[in-house]
Formats: sequence, structure tokens, C-alpha cells
Amino acid sequence: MAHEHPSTAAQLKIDLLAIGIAMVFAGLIRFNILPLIKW
Amino acid sequence: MSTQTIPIPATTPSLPTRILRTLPGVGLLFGIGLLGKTLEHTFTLLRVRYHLFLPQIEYVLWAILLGLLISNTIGVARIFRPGVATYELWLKLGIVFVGARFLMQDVLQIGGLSLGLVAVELILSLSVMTLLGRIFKLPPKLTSLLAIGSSICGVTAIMAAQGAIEPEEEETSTAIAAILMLGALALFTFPAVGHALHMGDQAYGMWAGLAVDNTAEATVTGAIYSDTAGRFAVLAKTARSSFIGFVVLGYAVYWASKGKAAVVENKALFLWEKFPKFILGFLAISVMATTGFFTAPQLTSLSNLSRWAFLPAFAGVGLRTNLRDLVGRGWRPLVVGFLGEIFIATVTLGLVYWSYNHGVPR
Repeated sequence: MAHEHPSTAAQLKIDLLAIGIAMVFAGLIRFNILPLIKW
Repeated sequence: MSTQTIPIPATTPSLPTRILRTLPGVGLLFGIGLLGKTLEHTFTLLRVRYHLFLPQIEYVLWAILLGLLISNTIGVARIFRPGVATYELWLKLGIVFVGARFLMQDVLQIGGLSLGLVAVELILSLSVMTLLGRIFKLPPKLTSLLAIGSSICGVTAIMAAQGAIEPEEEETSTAIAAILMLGALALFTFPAVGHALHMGDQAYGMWAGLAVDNTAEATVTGAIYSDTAGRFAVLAKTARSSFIGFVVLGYAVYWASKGKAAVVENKALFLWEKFPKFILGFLAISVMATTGFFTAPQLTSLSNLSRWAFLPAFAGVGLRTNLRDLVGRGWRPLVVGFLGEIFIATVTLGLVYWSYNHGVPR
């Protein structure tokens, strides 16, 4: 597979997306909108 | 008659189209991860219930082995590539969620210890890589990239340095290939050394986080050993990554002073731009966990979410490692990287042992 390494600008987008998704899930869990997640 | 070419503006696919294109690859990542989890359970069942002589292989290692097998035999088909490239998002998401498993006191104490060890490791590894680069007559900028990649944060640091020290494209891809190759070796050698030395989970995790270059490989090298080791590898690696800006700035100033790179005008802005922002998410979740924002079952949920996010990331590490690609870049950068990595691994192992024998609580 050809490797494509994200530039610093692309990595910023990935970082912000990761933080955004994590915060949304944290909110959903905090306010019991999501059930307890099992592993 | 003159022909005139009417330029067709390059169109970027719309967001829904781009998301749709990632679905097959994301499915593949989760599929491999879940298969790894199933194989772990199946092997355990066969061993316990039927007393078969089978090795205990964690899902992490299964996911990587399956990924490696696919990428190095049939290869990753074009349809899966956009989705496989999302492995970095899953990795960073997993790291942010791992913040829920650390109280701020731990972050400050262990992270602080990591920062101290990183500072020592940085000075030694940058010096040794520079010396090795000169001995093996590597181009100076390639040596700088290898030194940055091996001392700090692998591919992310190399990409951050690319804009600052302006190397040839070939030098960047060679440095990345060498760092990835060495990271792939660490996946298998570090756990073996850790078990041979009977290292504790925390000490081993710290060692993996301090010595393995790339964030993905460092996380996996820790997680292969144990869940706790994976957690501490993430913490140590995060502390190490926070140094990216300082090291890249140092090299940028050095190459600018030689007239071979642009001068950095605003150094504070430069440091902020190079700082990996996902670390802020990790810290934010850790602060919330510490201040009692979540109940204990909710913290367990977040902790389990981090495992679910790491599952496709681990599969992605295997899928994006093509050993032929990595070997075909000439032997000298690999030898320099290999010797440098052995040095860094030995020094950091010594540092971790010294720290844990001098009052660091486990």
C-alpha cells in the first residue's frame, strides 16, 4: 500500500476531529444518553 | 488553427462523498480488529477447555499480524485505502479517551517523570544520531530528519520538520520509511526483552513510550505487553510528543543560520503550530475524570471506548506496513536508524530502571 502521510495542517484537522468526537461521546455518556459501553 | 486548453478546475469531492469512500476501509479496519478479538477468545477457549497447546496471543498482536499478512501478500485494494488512512483518527481518539483512565495527579507525576527522562533521552539521541549520520556520510538534512524522528515522535515530527528545514522529498520519505521499519521491529523485540527482564507493566509501558518512535507503534508495543503497559506507553509517548515544537524549532533555526531554510519569524507561534493538539483533548478528559465530572461506571465506559477506538488503529498499523517498501530505500539510513534505536532503547531502559529503583511508585 502506498503510504500517504498527512501534512501538519491535515494532522491538525485529525486532532480537532478526534477531540470533537471524544467530547461528544463524553457528553453523551455523562448525561446517560448512551448506555454503558462494554468491551 | 490554434488549440487552446481550457483548464478544468480540480474538484474536491463533497464531504458526504469523502465519508462514503472511507466506509469500505473503515469496515476492513474494524473487521480485522474484531477477527483479532475473536481469535484471542477462540485460542483461550481451546486452551482452557480442550487443553490444546496454543500460544496466548492478545487481540492487539492478532490485529497487527492479520494486517501485515494482508498488506504484504495480496496488498490493500484501492477501494479500502481512504478508509485505512483513517487509522490515525482512531488512534488519536483512543488516546484522548485514555485520559479518562488517568487522574491528573498521575498525569503530573508520571508525565513529569517522563518529561525529565525525555529531556535526557533527547540530548543523547540527537547527539548520537548526528554522529552516526556523519560516520555513515548521510546527507545532513536526512540526518536531521532521522534524529528528529527517532528522538521525538516518528512520522509526525518528521512531517512537522519538513516545512521548517526544507529537505528534499526523497529525504523525507527515506526518513519516514526508516522510522516505520524500526517501529515494526520494536513491536516484536520490545515485548520479548520486557518479558526476559520480568519488567513490571508500568516500567515497561514507560520504556515503550520513551523509546519507540511513532505514536501508533509505541501504543501497540505497550498494549501487546498488557493493557496497563499500553496505558503508560500512551502517557510517556504523549509527554515526549509535547517536545516536538522545541526540537523542530532548534533544527529550523540551525538550518536558517546556514542559509538553507527560511528564518522563523514568530517562534512562539511556531511552537504552538507544531504542538500536537490531541494532547489537549487527553488532558481535558483527564481533568474531567479527576474533578468527578463522571461517575465510576461512566469512566469505565470511556475507558472501554478507548479500547474500541484502538481496535481499528492497531489493524491500521499492520495494514500500512509494507516491508518491501521499507527495505527498498538503501541500507545506510536503516543502519544509522537501527544503531541509533539500539542506543536509545538501551539508554531509556537504563533510565527507566534507574527511576523505578529510586523511589518512583508503581
